[in-house]
Amino acid sequence: MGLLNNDISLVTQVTVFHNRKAFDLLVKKYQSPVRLFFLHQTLGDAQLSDDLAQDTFIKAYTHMQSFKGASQFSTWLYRIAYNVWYDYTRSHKTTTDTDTPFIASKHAPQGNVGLQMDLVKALRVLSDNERTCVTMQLMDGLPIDKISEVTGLAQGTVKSHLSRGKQKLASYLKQNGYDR
Amino acid sequence: MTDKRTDFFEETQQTDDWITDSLPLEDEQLLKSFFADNTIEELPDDGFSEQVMASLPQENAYRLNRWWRLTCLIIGVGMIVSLRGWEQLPHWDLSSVRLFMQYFPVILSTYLQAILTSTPLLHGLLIVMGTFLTLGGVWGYNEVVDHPIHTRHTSPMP
Repeated sequence: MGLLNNDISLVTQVTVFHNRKAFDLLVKKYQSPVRLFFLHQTLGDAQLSDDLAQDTFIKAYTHMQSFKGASQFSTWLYRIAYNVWYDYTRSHKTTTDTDTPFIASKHAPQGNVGLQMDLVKALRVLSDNERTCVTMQLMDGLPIDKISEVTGLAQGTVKSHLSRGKQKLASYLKQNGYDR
Repeated sequence: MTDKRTDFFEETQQTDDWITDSLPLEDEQLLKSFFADNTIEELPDDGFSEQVMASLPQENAYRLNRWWRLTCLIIGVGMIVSLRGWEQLPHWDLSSVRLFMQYFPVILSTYLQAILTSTPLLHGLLIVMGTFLTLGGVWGYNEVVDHPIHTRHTSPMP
């Protein structure tokens, strides 16, 4: 409860008093999870992740008035991050659909910078939507309803992405000897 | 999942949502184990937050600056027009500038006094109109200049 009050207090200071120090505290608090989110989506591209994370925080700052407090600030921020990633994939979309691994492999850098190579290779087999849902659940610990709230996808769709994504990952891990 | 990661979402708790009916339990355990081994707990800041703060738009400071500049511009143009300043330009030299600096406060106070003590209603109306025109001009100027900031981010907000 103390943590929640602190976030609301900081958000209020930013929106009402334009207190940049308060926003700095919010950035320091949430920079790691936001950057990690992008690191997972970009398959370890640290530079791109930081750029997208920066865009996320700038958007949060300029649109702070639109945060009504209906959800937690962290969920709202996560939603912005997801929208930033969505915009990025759309603007860099090729003729193929985003539900195929082709675009996922395009994002992968030649040399891993931010993530372990095993994780990068494993995540590479997933499509963008599958990767988003799987990493949100298995790495960030979000329940399905929270994933649905962040992504704007129906819960049934989220479950479908999770199911397919986990099956692909499990097959990949077994083929590469991780179950031994 | 680590404590730090679950702290990020206060309501997050270990649920059974991750268990999907189609996936065998051993595969679920395999995935859990794999991600537990490869999860990064926390990224160090390394100047990231400073970079973000430096990139934030400085709207309020710009707005105040623009208000002041536009106000001074309007006052300056108004005074030049009312005092027919363009007729004096060909005759200006250093001594003229010195004289102007010397008598400017007198001229300004005389001008303001003439406005304030004038009795006809029309003069008062002109002042009010001039005030609204100034404020409207400043508002319009701010709207035009701030427009690129508000339309920069096009994706839907939550």
